[in-house]
Amino acid sequence: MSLPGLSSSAVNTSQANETVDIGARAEWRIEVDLKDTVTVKVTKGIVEVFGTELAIDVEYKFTGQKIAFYSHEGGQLEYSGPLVSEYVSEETQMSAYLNFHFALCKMREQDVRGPRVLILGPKDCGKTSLAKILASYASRMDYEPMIVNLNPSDPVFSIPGTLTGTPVSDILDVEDGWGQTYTTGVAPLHPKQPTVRYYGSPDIHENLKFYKHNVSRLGVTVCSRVSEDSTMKKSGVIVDTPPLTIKDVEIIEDVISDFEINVMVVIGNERLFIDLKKKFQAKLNVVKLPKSGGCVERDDSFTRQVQQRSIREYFYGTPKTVLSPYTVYVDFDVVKVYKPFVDAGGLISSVLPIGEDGLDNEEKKPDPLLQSLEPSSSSLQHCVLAILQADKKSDEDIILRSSVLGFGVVTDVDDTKSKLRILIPVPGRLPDRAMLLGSFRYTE
Amino acid sequence: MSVDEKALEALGDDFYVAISDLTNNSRPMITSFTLLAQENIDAAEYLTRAVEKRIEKAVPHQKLYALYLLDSICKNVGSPYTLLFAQKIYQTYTQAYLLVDDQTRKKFIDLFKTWKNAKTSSGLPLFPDEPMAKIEQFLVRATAIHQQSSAKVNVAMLLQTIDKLLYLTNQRLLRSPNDQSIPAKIGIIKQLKFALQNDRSMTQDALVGVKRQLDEMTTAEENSLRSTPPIKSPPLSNPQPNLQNIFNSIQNPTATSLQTQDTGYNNVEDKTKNLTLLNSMINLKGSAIRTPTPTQTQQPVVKKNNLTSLLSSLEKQGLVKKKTPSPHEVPSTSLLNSILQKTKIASSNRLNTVHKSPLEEELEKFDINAKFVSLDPTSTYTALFVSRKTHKCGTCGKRFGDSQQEQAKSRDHLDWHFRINKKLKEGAIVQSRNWYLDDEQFVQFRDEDMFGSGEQEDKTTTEKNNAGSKERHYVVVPSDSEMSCLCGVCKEVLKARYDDDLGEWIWDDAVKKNGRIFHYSCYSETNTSSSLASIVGAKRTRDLSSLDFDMIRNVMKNVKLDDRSKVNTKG
Ligand SMILES: [Zn+2]
Ligand SMILES: [Zn+2]
Repeated sequence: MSLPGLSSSAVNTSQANETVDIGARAEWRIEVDLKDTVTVKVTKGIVEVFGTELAIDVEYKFTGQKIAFYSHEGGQLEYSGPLVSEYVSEETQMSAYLNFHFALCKMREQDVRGPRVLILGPKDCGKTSLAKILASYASRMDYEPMIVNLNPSDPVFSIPGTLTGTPVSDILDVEDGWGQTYTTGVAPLHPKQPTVRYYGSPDIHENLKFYKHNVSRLGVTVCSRVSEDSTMKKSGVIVDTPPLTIKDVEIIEDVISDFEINVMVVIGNERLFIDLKKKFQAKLNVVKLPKSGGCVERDDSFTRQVQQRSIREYFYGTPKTVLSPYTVYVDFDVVKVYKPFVDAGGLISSVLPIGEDGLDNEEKKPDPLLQSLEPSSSSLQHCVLAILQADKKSDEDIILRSSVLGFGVVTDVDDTKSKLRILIPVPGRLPDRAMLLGSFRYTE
Repeated sequence: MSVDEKALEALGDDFYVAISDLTNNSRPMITSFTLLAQENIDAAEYLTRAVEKRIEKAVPHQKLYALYLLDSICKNVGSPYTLLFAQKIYQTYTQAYLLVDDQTRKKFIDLFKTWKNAKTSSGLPLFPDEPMAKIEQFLVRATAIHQQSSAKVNVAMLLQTIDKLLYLTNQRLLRSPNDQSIPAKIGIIKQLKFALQNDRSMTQDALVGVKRQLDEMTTAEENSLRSTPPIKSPPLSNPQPNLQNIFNSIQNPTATSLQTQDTGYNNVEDKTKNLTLLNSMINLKGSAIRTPTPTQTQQPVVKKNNLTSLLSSLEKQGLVKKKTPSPHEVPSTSLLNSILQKTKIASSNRLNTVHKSPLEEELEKFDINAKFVSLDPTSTYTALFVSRKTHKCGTCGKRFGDSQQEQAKSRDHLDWHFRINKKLKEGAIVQSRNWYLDDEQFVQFRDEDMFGSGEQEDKTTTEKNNAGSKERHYVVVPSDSEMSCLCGVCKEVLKARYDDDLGEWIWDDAVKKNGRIFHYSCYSETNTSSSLASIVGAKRTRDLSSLDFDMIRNVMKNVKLDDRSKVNTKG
């Protein structure tokens, strides 16, 4: 099967295998280009990727990733395929992260309500890696924590623009970043079941009000899932965030109350740690962890490519799990598309602290969060649409509460015939649901 | 109640709070609490109650320390504490005994034996004869029950299992002639066979333990044979009977309890496997808990030749020790260790014991409020990620533990891999992604419902299949219902029509299940590929009636494969 951008997996057997020895508490850090695939096989010892232990003598394939293979007591692996960079480092922070994990476990064992961890720190300091490591370690000890992603730029179990909550019910799939969801069907490892909300932009400050709305709704869903399940209640919640600074303290406060946070961990920024500790230590545990030397700055183009890849994989799957999407043609008048409301001076007022946007606003009735949108080629061509759970005839407040059923991409708009061509993941009709437009586009 | 009395009572409460810190076997703490008891003889009644309450309320593995406190107070202070404790000593002792694990029970028994011989300063027995006799009766019965409870296993059965295991292992050797670990394994199995044939006096418990271990190894062999194609030399992820390791550790005893051993362990320089193996087999005979008899009078605190305590201290060592060997070594189960664990678990399941202690103890030093960042996590890493989870899945690296429950999980897991891999290899089916759940479904969703044993058969499926395809399927529209409804699977509208023959409004080609209407084809398709009804049934019992068939179908269609493939697995 040949699909755009997907290389079949039978390529690299001809290449010679290189052997890498990883000393105790060291890690092998590699970077694989988005167009290359590298095959790695552990031959000795316990080697883990973001906390997930790899099987012995099983080939793992990696594409477009920057990852580290850590061994606590030493190990050996073999690899073949082109690497942008590779080196073994003994300067890892994994012992600190392990200790943090064990401290969380102690909390889990001491209370029926386990730790609710908020991970904070600047861009590219390893927040997501830490979230993944904590989730994997918890899973290795039979806990089932909920992993929450509040960074719309860096999707977890979904496409960019989303905020998600996902119970980590089993081993993560190291090859696919986080792994597959139940929506993909047969997958080589146990899939996970996320709840998905669509914010629609990679930048939380673009529409802070709508972002906070979504964070808070996700909090409601996540907390009720956790409270109904004693294992998950004990295992707790791990919340990953976009890069927030002390200026975003209001968002941080919201997240703390939305997710009932009781542990705040700040990575690699002493100043932020001190500021937050001063502010929050009275009501929760504020701890700091060192930043891993393996963190690499991701430039915007890499981030965009990863985002595009995750949209493509949503529809077409991965080489391991190939999916076949479906195209529907619909009239303009059968779709109901909304977009987040941004008022005229939106960008300016949203960066002002609350209460400083002038008295005028208080007299006006509050701005709506959504606005309706007329389909046209200029508004919808190549756009990603979130198909919501809410019926298209629902009231706006129901639509606002609604999480995501799935995603579509408008592949063509015919203004003269008033018709849309939409790529959807599931064969059948386009569901009669409301749709939400964000800023993401996708072209095949 | 007088003011004084109230003050004494308050003292008792304070004492209770203080002794609640007795969460490990701390001699200094026990000594100072004993002194407190001595200094406050006025409050003896309340202090006695505090200790009794602590024994009652402490989590199982901490009961022993409170019992040691009782022991210390009685032996060091004596009257009136001996009299006060004697009133309820039978209840205090036996109720706690029932809740602790086997290892702790051993210590309970040891302690009891010291009571039988101990005398107060005035030369009287520590406790009156009557409760002592009752406790002894109780222990005789309890240990007898313990022995009966294990399923009868005899040597002949074990020999059969060994022959099967040898056959399977030889098969694997044929497939992977270069894997040097296989001949070694075969060698060890043969020695085990030899030892069993020549030693007919092993206890039931030891036999049961050996059987479990053999079964486990057999399962591992079966699985690795089944999944051979992709891998040249199947990883020996499952129990590698690395007997050498454990024997080496027997030969280098460090725990103090081993120093009085006269079984020859500490002198063994001869590392020939045969001899050591036989040695250990012989000594396994003693591994069941001994029934204390009145004739066993002279009991030093550290008992001689106590195999159980030898094994348990080995086990303790094993937990910490596995970090020491070569860094590349994947730790493996040891026969002795797992035999001990098996017997422990079997009996603890019976009495609903909570086995929390090792985990909590292991985590003790990691405090979120303290400076945990620079601690050395190595021993905890090994204990919790490796030693507690000795069986590593050869396909995905996920680990499982030794308990029966964990082994069952491990078997399900391997079955699951097998079915999925088969399905993925059959491959031609191109699948599509499904929708996400809505909030309510998400909150109600439980992964374990998707990965159940697969044993629950869906009866409606077989009924349908037997009914044959010619049969007509329709649903009569209830009088209070709308004329159209949505198919529970595909969500398309079903419109009612009037059927002249029946004289009824019906939805044709439809079925009604659990109060919902489906196209017949939608329903049967869904049902043949999954045990849908059992899932829904499970959901129902949790009162989650709003669950959407659509979702279940989407999920089940792909995740839970039909049972035919499962039959092939076993065949
Ligand atoms: Zn597995
Ligand atoms: Zn249907």
